[in-house]
Amino acid sequence: MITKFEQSTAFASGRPITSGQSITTEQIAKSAYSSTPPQPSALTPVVEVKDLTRNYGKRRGVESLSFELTAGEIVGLLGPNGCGKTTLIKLIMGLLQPDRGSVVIRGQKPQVSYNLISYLPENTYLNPALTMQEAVRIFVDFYRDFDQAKAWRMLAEFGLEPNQTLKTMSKGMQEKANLALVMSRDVPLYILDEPMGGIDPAARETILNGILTNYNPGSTLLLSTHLISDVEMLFDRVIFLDNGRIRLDRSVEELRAREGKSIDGLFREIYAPERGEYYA
Amino acid sequence: MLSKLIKLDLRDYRAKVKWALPIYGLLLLSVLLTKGLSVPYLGGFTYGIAVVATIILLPAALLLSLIHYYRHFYTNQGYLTHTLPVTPGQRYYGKLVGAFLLYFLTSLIAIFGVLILVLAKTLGERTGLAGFGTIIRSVVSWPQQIGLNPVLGWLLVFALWLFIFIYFFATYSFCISSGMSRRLSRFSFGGPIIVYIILYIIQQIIGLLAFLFFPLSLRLSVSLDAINSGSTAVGDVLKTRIVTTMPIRRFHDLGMMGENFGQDLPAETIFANNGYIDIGLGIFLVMLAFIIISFIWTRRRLARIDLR
Repeated sequence: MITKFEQSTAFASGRPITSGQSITTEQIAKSAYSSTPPQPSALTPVVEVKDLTRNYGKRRGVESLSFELTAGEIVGLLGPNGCGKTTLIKLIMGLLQPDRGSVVIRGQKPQVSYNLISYLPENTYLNPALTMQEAVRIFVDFYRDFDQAKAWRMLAEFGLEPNQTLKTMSKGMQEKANLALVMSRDVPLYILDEPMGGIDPAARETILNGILTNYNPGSTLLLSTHLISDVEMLFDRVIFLDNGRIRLDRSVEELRAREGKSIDGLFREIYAPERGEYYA
Repeated sequence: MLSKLIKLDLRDYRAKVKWALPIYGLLLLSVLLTKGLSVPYLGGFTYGIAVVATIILLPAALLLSLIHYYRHFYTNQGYLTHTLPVTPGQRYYGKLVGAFLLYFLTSLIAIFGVLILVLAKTLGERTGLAGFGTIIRSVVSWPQQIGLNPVLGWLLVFALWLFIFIYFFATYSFCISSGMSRRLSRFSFGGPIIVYIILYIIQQIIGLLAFLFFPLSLRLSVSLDAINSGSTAVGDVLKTRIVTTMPIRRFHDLGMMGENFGQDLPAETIFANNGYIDIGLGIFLVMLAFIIISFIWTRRRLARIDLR
């Protein structure tokens, strides 16, 4: 059977995957990060979401969401625009307050867990006047788990200069810059909110490669997107959100075996007929 | 971590004002050259601009710290600020100290600017360094000129300078953090403005009540005899002391309440026959109470951030 790590590495290098290949988890882990990875128990939930509800006035944000994320999982948070993906992520991050329910990250409230989470928000969150050098400095200052060498390596791979300011960069370049910083941390949980939203396909591939080659396999990755076809080979599990509720929460393996379709195909089947929309 | 937060703020401030400082420096230099050498028209023009620039330096610094507070906490940059591994208290006090350092450095620059302006003026008037020294000595000795202890006088100036900053910070942090809270965040920057208007009305009402009814006043007596005899020494003319009396009592005795409330009385009516007036100090206690409430409340708001 092809492991997730084999899939990831093969995708990143652009070569096809066959079940006979003998890439070990250790080899991938060795190439993926330079610092010591965390050693979480696979049974302990990294994130526990219970009965989470948040409305915006009369408009529903998310309603009665309950699920757990365990160590080592790559979870796709999928759904059309406005279905509640960003609301859910902000609630997990403690950036929005729930009307009801709770979020626990490794037994702690989100607000005291920021040393455990590397978060990439939907929009760039760095001061546009900063140079890359200054942005890296901020991460060095605040995050003990930040691997500066890895960040510079990624930034060089993305073609970004140390003295370049964020305001002189295109949206795609800013996205790459943010991703390099976020993926250079060594934490149990990565949360990426639409890392490829509004970016051209060539840049999407670079960003995806950046995630795959720098992702710590022992960590949990929650990735929200509506561009499913680009990333579906990454996921261990998918959570489909629809109008603030969980429509489906299954392992990808189980879904493929039962439905015999790609996640993208399933997504279109679930959402498109109702709305007459096409999500590419 | 607090020091790192302050460093982060100072880095941002530096990025914002890196052009302003050299421009101000050039302006002062041009004042020295044009005003100091008495260049017709141009000297007065650059001097006027430099005076205006120096006057707006401190308000500009306070405004910059307000904008910085809003941007760092409630725009896209808030997603970074609020997910740094620090406590809400550290986030808040980091902003306080960062803004204070900006205020402090701007004050130093403003003082330097004033010195250059005075120097340019005395050079232009051909009184040179001697004239400059005379003006500076006269400014430094202002407490003695009104019969105050110099240490006490300058301590009062320092306290006022500090109070302006703390009160301004407490007000804008309270208004922004309350106005961007869940209930009001749909109004965007209108939320803080709504909070400020409500706060202003409440402060005016409570301030007036505290001014009239709080039993702590500064009693002012003016010696009309000393004025009539031509004395100019403030110490002879004006007597002050702190009393624990409600100011409204004296207003009532003078007939300033009821229909006459808000009407001016002639000084002779107030101060004749060892007369006095009590200035209510309760308003300062209200302001102090607001600063303390603002610090506690705003820190709590930051712990329950709601970025829509």
